[in-house]
Amino acid sequence: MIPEIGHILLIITFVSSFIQSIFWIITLGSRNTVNLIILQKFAVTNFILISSSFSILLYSFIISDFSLLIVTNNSHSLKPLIYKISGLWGNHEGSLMLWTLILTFFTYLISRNKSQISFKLLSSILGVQTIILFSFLAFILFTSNPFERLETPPIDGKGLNPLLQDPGLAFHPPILYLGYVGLSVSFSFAVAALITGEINQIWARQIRPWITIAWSALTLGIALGSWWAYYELGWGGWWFWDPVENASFMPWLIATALLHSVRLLETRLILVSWTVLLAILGFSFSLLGTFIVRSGLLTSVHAFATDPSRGIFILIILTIATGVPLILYAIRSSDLYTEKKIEFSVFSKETALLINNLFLSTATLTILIGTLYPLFLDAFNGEKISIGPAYYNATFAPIMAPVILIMAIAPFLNWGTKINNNFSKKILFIIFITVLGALVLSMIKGATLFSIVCGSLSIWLFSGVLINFISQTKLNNLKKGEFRSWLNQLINNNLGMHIAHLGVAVFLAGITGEQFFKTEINGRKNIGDIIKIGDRSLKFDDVKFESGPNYKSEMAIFTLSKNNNLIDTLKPEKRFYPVQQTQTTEAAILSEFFGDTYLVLGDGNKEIGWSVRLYYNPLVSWIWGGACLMALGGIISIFRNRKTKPNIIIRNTI
Amino acid sequence: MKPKYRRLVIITLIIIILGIATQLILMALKDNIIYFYSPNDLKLKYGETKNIKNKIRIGGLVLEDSVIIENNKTTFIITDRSHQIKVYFDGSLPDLFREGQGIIAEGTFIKNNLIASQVLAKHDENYMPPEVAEALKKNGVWQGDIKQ
Amino acid sequence: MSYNVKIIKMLPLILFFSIVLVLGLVLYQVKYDLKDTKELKSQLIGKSIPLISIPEINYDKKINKNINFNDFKNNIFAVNFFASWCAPCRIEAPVVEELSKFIPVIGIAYKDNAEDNKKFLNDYGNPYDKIGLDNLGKVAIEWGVYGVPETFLINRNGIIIYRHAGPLLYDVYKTDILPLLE
Repeated sequence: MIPEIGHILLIITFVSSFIQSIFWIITLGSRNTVNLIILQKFAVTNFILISSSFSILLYSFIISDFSLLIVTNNSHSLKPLIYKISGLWGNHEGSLMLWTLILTFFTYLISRNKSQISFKLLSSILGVQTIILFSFLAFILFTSNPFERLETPPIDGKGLNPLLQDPGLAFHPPILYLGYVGLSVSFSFAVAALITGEINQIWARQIRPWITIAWSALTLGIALGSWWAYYELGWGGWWFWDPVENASFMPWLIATALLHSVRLLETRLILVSWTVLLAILGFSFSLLGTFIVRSGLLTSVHAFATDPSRGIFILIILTIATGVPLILYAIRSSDLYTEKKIEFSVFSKETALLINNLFLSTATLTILIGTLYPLFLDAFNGEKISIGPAYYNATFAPIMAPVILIMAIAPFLNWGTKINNNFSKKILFIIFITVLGALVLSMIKGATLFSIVCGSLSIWLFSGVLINFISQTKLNNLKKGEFRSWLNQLINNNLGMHIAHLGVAVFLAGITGEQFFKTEINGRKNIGDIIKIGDRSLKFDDVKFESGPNYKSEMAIFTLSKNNNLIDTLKPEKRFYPVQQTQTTEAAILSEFFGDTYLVLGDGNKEIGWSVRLYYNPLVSWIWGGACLMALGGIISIFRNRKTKPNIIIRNTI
Repeated sequence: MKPKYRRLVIITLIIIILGIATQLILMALKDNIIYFYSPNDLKLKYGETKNIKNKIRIGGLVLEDSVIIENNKTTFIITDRSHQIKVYFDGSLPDLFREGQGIIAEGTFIKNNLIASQVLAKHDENYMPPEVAEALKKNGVWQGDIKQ
Repeated sequence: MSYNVKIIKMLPLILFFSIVLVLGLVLYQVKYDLKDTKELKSQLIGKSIPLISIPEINYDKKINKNINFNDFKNNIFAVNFFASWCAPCRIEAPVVEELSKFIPVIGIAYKDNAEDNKKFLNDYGNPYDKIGLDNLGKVAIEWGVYGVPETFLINRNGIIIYRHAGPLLYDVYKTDILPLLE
């Protein structure tokens, strides 16, 4: 009975969101503020309804109600509670429920906005959000009902796959969804701006935290997925340029461009229609990503349950959600604003941000082509192809390199025409450090041209961020006193941006280490053998056979030591699950600041020894460390207090 | 820079960057496309050809009782139940690699065998032919009830 | 409200619609392909019996041999996957009994041991012409069995013509199976 209530709640929200959308369209031209209050009330109701429905589904998972198809397929009574809960969004139907939950929550937050934002703009934003909610509810109810019952409930569920019970995988989807839904908010802002014709600095200031939230969440979500692939898949890689990965990476790139262009809009009121376009495209790319992942069009290492009829539905949503705003964009965007005749020099923040946007969107384009080209070929001559990392290394990497170059300099450029006094001094300092770094790099054994270029870019950015941070925050000028006011000063001096840029530098350093200086040792080793890795030695001590709760394990014990001082014990394992007839490899990873020792046990026995695979991945954890810094920087910058006075321009209201 | 020239400069810049990007993309596409075949498709397209110059991907099921692992070197047979291709692979296999599992092997086709550089398996069970997936899941389900 | 449409502003729209068009085209083809394979594959219907050998349990004579489906050639017969530990199998027992009056039924004990199985057959009756043992569940995988109980009907040419997952209830028996037998 309880699941039916959840289903009914969904239907009620579906019907009411339809009525609400109609209400919004009818009252579009009205000047009555009561309409806004009604829309705000709607937002609260939708949030309450959806969260109740979601809670009911969650409850069914917690009590393991196997009369529900979704619970049977994705849960098991013996699972730990945390994986029972994550089982909810580990599948298509449940993940859509989570999607709508976040959507209604964000809409509710927008509806409580008490700033100077005009009531017309706000009601249009709420209206667009409601239409998005309506389409997703239709999608859920018509193609993927989470409350579907089984006629004869089984005794237990089917979701006891050991591989999928993993903290990395449990939190990857919800965080990524925060990002996708966050982009839906900036989308609604853009569409509302096109409808009302109102776009100004208040708009920019209101949209910016949402873009930042979305961007930070996407960063974290992508990093988490990549980390999972690294430690779980057991071949040491962390990014595969796989369509599913690209699907989340393209919205991230768009969000990055948007984050920077909205900064231009906020301070200088230029790039207005471009920002609107990016905001629309950010959400379109999220939908395109969902489409690629769920429709089964592309083969990929990360496959999800796919179903073409769902693909059609998402394609329809994608067409309407992007087509209508783009039509609006084509007829309205030229009238949105008067291009201010602002003068700026070649060496100004404006130029730097323009170039940033130009390169980021070109980079997105290369990925889009790489992802879709196989589809085009399939459609036109039926040939199935895939495009691997080599393509992206040859296109994406060279396009991003200039972005890194400019990223180090841009923060200390001035707005407008005034050239920063210390500009040449600072540049010389950065160049000096980078040349020094490049020389050191070239002396490392195994350094190639590409490794030196990549490493130097990282050093370039490191020194740039450092000098920016020191010169901009003027640490000695900070008023001492309460920690909070001290922190606030730091935040208002672009602390978030510095940390995010530092994150990119750390990330690049990680890539340099992992891509160019990794060592791999392969061979058959027996108990007592010693493997040398640099100045360390790894001794093969023993092999143990043990039984786990539902598996048998063959575990090797290695000790890693330096000059006879024990560093750590590594225990790579091979598990055999007799019931599933599955073998899994549990790599032993010793993660250290300067690199990971990654050890995989193959098969063998006491007579002939065991085949052992050993990787040493220098700086690899910096990759995810860098991503975390980026996300942290984003989150910090949300708390930034913007002092600049808004410059209100309102034109062409309907 | 005066606004008048600015527009010109920006447009020129856009055209230059897009031009370079197009060039990069075209070059990369020419060299780095990997064709995907099932064993049957490969037979149909290449007949009895023994070598293929470019890298290819072969997708299908791992034939039962065909996997031999020795010294980290694996050989196995990919089948689509109508044709078979022998695969040599020197590297670590994904955990979900097992007999009857749907997988993709990427590599060069030499003397009618695939020398694989990468073997991919899906981390979602649904990729397997649905009936096998269901049966396997079912095995997991009933484990508590079986008396061994 | 004024309109000032520039070609450059139409560009995103045009690009977008051409991408959508191609995606739609591809999706149409994929859907077509999947439909073809899914229905045949997932149910084995229209295909011949999987070629996996099944060891026979014989409680009277202790002989080790495999079930020979050729014994039933030119006959419609049923294959019923069951297990002594499976509750719904007890429910369907009388219906299988009924079915065995018309056609031969081969039982395949899924993940079961001989002793429990014997006890089950003593308690609930033995409607089977032959009983096979699928200790490891490999036969079930080959047959694409969803779970126990599950029943297949095989026609005179050894082609699977019907499959029912779950307990065989009277109404299923009446509406689905009886018409096929006639």
